[in-house]
Amino acid sequence: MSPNDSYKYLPPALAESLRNVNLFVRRPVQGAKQGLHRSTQFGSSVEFAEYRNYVPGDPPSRIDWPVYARTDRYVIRRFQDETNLRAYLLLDISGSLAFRDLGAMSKMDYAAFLAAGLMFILVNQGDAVSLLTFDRKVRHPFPLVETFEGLRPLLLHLEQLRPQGRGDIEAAIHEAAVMMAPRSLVILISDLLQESEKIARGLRHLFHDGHNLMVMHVSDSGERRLSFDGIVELRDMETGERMVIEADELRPAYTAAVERHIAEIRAACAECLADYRLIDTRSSVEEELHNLQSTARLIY
Amino acid sequence: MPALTVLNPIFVWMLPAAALPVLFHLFFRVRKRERLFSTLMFFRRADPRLRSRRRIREWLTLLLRVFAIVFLLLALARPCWQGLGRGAAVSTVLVVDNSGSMSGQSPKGPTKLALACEAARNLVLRMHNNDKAGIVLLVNDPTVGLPEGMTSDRTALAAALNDIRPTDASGKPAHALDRAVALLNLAPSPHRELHIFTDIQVTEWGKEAALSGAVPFGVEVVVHRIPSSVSSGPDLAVKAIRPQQRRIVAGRPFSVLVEVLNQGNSDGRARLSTFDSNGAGSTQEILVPANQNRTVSLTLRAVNPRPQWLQVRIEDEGLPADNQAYLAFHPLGRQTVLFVGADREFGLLPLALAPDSEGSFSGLVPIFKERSHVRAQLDKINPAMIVVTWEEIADWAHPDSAVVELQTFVSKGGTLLLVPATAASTPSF
Repeated sequence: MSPNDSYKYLPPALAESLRNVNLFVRRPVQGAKQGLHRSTQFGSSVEFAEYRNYVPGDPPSRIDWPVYARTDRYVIRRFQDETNLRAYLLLDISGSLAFRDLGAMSKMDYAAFLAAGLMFILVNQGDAVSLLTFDRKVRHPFPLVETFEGLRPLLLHLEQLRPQGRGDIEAAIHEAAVMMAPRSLVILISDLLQESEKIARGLRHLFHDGHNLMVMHVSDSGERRLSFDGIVELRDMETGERMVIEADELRPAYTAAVERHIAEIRAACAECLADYRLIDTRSSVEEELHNLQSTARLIY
Repeated sequence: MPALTVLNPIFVWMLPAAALPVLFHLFFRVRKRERLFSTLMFFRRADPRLRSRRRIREWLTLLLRVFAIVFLLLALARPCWQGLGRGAAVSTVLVVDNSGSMSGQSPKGPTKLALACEAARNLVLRMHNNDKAGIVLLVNDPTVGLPEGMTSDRTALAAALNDIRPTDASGKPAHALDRAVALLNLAPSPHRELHIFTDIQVTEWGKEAALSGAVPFGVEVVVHRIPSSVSSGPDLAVKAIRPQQRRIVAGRPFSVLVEVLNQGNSDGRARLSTFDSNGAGSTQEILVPANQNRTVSLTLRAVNPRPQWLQVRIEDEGLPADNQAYLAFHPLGRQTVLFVGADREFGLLPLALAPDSEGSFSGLVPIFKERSHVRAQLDKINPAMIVVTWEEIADWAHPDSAVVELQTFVSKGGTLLLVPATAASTPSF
């Protein structure tokens, strides 16, 4: 497969625009080979890490002579090693992702575009990527791939996805955590329609496992601010539960509840040093993927 | 025992309409817009009691609407407790039908009037000390000593009921009920009753007559119908009595038509008797076929020119009340016709008015006087008519006493006849 092959969620134009996009992480990662990312191991890269006492056998060229001049001590500079990234995309495929109101496409389609773009960026920059789809449990975990050829089945799988069933993000994260190599990058792509405390528990689990976290909160603006009015009978897309509401009367309280939820998620992400992004399905996928790079560089 | 009743029962029949809000709710319920939504969790957070509160509110609103309709209909139906306040005094008016039909037999044997009075007496005897009652008769009978207004004196009431006798007259229910309503309006107690004891004859109660005032609200009206005995034989009655349609002159025979009705299922044979105020009487046999009328002509003679009466009666017939009729009449005596002038001037007219000069045929006696004697004659006699020729009138160039007298006579309603003079001679008999 070449990067120019056309997939529904990775058209050639999008792939071309993402060629120069790089994704960085803030915490050191544990990779298999040389790459762009800071390694947990020390090596001879240019980034200074720490000093250690000279021991016979160390190359004299690594003795820090200015330090000797000041202290009469022989010390050796140690530098950070650089390695490649292992990234896991956790993609929510529960029934609520089928929702579409004001967005240009359903949340599922948008999430799939994001997932395809992210996988391309990561493989393009030499990183390894895996895809795990979930609803209330992990449905289909793919092994890590590092080549565009290896990416093909993942991209084809995206095209077959049909959002359905009830979702449980926390349970899926806990299940996925044991499938992932430590100190990796975990990208959660979901509409995060679960109690914020539960999502936070899942994120904390991943954070404690040493992962770098990125949360991409896909949302249709019609579900953040009710786009309809009058008396309406709503049916939950996952549970089938019905509820009759008067939209005009409920709109202010509803909007406040949504914003409270987003704020709680944001706080939970901050606590776990996770990069949180609220993505409106009306916005361009390409722009959002490009924004990942600029934001990442600002952080670091 | 107190019982709930309604004054406008039609609104009670409309009570099922109270279910309409429920039906509308169920019908329109299914037509709400349904919409798929990603999650309901934020709605529950927005108002945790949302679903339950809305349902409770909906059902409460529905219940209120149903109650509103029910109470409105009940209010329009105007329910009232009859017999409420039995502990308090009761005011009762007893209307007793004493018309002629009540003298007929009841199936039990006694007359209908007897049964009516017995039932009324029983009511009186059940009165409490504070209760009051009054009696109204359908036919006003001054011979019955009725207590004045409403009274608690049961003895006086019972005595009055014992005094009631059948009359021959037809009752006027509307008038009797007006008197009863007047008594009820003066009754002090809140609980008022009106009891009517009657055989509900169609000829009396079937006539449409408006009461002058409405029966007061809340008055309990009870009609005690006294049944009539059923007869398979003839049922004769004097339906009408009519005198001849001309003047009845004293001393002259005149005719009276008597119409007899047989409402029974078999031919009726009876004797028709007459009796007048002069003591004269007659009897004749009549036969009236079943369900038919028969008109009998009677020839009578009025002797004197003064008010008289005639009784016509069917003898040997069950119900006497409708078997007799009376006719009052006043035969006229001979009257004078004053001709102003000589008889030869009036031709045959005097003969036409009185074929014999004594008025035996017509009751009119002609007298002839000159104009100068007119005033004296008017003072002496009161002529039925004054006859004057045109020529005589024209000759009166200027007013004199005779003219003035004639004007006065006419202005007081007298009849003045103007005729042309004629030379025709009057034959003699």
